[in-house]
Amino acid sequence: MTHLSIALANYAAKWLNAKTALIELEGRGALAALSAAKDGNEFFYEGVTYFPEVSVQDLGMIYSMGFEYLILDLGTDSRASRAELMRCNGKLIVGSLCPWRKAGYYDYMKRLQETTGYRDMFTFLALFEDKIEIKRCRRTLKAQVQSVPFIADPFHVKDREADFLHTLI
Amino acid sequence: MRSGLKAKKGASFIINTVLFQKYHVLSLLGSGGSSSVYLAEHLKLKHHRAIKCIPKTQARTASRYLEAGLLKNLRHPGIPVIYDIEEDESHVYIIEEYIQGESLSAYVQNHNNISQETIAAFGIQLCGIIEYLHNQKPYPILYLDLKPEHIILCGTQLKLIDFGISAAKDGEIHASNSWGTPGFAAPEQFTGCGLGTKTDVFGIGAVLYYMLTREILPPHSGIPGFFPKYCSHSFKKIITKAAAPRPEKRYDNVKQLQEALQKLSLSRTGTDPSAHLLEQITVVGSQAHIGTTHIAVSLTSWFNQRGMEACYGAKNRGTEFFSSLQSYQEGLNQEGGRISYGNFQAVLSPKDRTGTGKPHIFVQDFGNDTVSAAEEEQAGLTVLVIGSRPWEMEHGILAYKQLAGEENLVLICNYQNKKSAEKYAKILRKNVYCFPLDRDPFSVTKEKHRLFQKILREGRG
Repeated sequence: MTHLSIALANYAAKWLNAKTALIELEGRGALAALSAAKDGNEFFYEGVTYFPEVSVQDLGMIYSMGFEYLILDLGTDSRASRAELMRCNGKLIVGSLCPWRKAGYYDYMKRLQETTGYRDMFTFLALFEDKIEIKRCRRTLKAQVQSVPFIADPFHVKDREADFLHTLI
Repeated sequence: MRSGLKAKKGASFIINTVLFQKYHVLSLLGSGGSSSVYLAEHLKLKHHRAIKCIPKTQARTASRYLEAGLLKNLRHPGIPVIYDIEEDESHVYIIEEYIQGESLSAYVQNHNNISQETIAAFGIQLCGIIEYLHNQKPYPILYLDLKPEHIILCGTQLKLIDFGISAAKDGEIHASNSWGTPGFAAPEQFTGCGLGTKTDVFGIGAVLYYMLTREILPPHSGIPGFFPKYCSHSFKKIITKAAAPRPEKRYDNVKQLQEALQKLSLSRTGTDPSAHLLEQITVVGSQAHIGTTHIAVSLTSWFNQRGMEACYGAKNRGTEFFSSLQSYQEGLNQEGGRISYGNFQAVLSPKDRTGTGKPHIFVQDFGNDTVSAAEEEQAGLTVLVIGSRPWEMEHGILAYKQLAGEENLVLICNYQNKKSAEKYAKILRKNVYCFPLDRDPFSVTKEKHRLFQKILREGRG
């Protein structure tokens, strides 16, 4: 998920020339590991401003900084992250349809649709899945489901990868 | 696309029809006599199937029923899955697994001087499949028609097709025709007397002889003619004994033949294909969601495909892992506490390892519990999966430090990221392997095969 968030942020910054921030809400420290200082403070890297380990209370301040694109990495589903998810223009849910995780992802997708009352609002993403599995998933859930292709370097997105990322933004 | 329950004579008519409201017939795969095999797609599941279409007027219809009835309950990576048997007024339809691959006869024709190691490895696999059939309860199933055309090579997995003259041995052989094919059939198949499990031992010997020499055994006598100069004395002895014309001179059963081939492989390569020395392998990841289970499942599938029986266990996983597999993986078979799918086998709990056919190797998935993995005493090999992304490297290094005391520790970096693997190797001063980009953990690709061979070699010193 962090990988995709970084790819999206770099796509927005370099391909769309937009002022972009990537925010890690209630983070796990993944973004902090990227900064040289490793002190958990914001840092700038290759055109994107990174905000590691941000709490909900600090979001308002970041929203008013004039960024054109704000990519929120919400981690796993929680009450706080759900509220922020519903505020976003694009709502991307990332999961895995591998055989031992499929049941969990299907359940989650159905529950999300039921509790929010919305079917079409979310884009469900499954990592590296084949077309047949994606079609099956779309038919079962009657929702938007896409396969995420392998993105080798999220900081330097290539043409085909950019085409895919464009469909998400 | 026309719908219809009736399939009439003529291949062109049935193509592009829907059979039994389930199967869209796509093309003709092949035909022999008046029966034909078609490629079809299951409409709901979108999976391919092979459909054998047999006219009811054909003399062998009864034997085809027998074939399907025998196969329907069998679950082995080397035997096609029978999904269903249907019929209409004019035909019987056997719906089975669609197998894509090259026949052994084509393989032999396309490869000169196949090495003894390769032939032995195929022989070991073949023995495994036949032993499975012979171990069926209440009656052993005899195959009785071993020949290169009936063995399909799917990657490195052998699969047996056409069980047309197979029989269950319950004292009397109930088979409409057990004559087999000259050059591959045992002498007793031509007299119809004394058929038994040793008849299949002969069949395996005949196939091995064919792979070695590209010749068939002299019909009826079955005494091997010539052997190439490069053939070792031991291998000659194995084939001669397996293909001895008189049953009492052959190996008592396929297990003995398999062991002889395994000993031969061990003595030639120094690597024990039965891996008796390797009872347990621990697979653990430096953190969650980096592909630890995918790699553990792939490794288990690879062992089984190589003829080294292995099963997967999930440490501290709870039931949702298996219940998800059971709900969503088509073709999964569960028997007691064991699950199998293709080359993959898993036990729901470690106690289910015991019982009939205890696997040689137990691949235990510890998830990201490096603490418990470090405490595991029984593992002959520990595989640590480490993340290749920049924000995962710290976890990877920490996990390595926790396990550095393990005697046989192998590191695998995910997503084929050679740059990260090299970085890790520099920091840790240890060889780090790359796991290839891989969608299907149950299939064995060439890349995974090469990787696992290297890992086993390093892990066992």
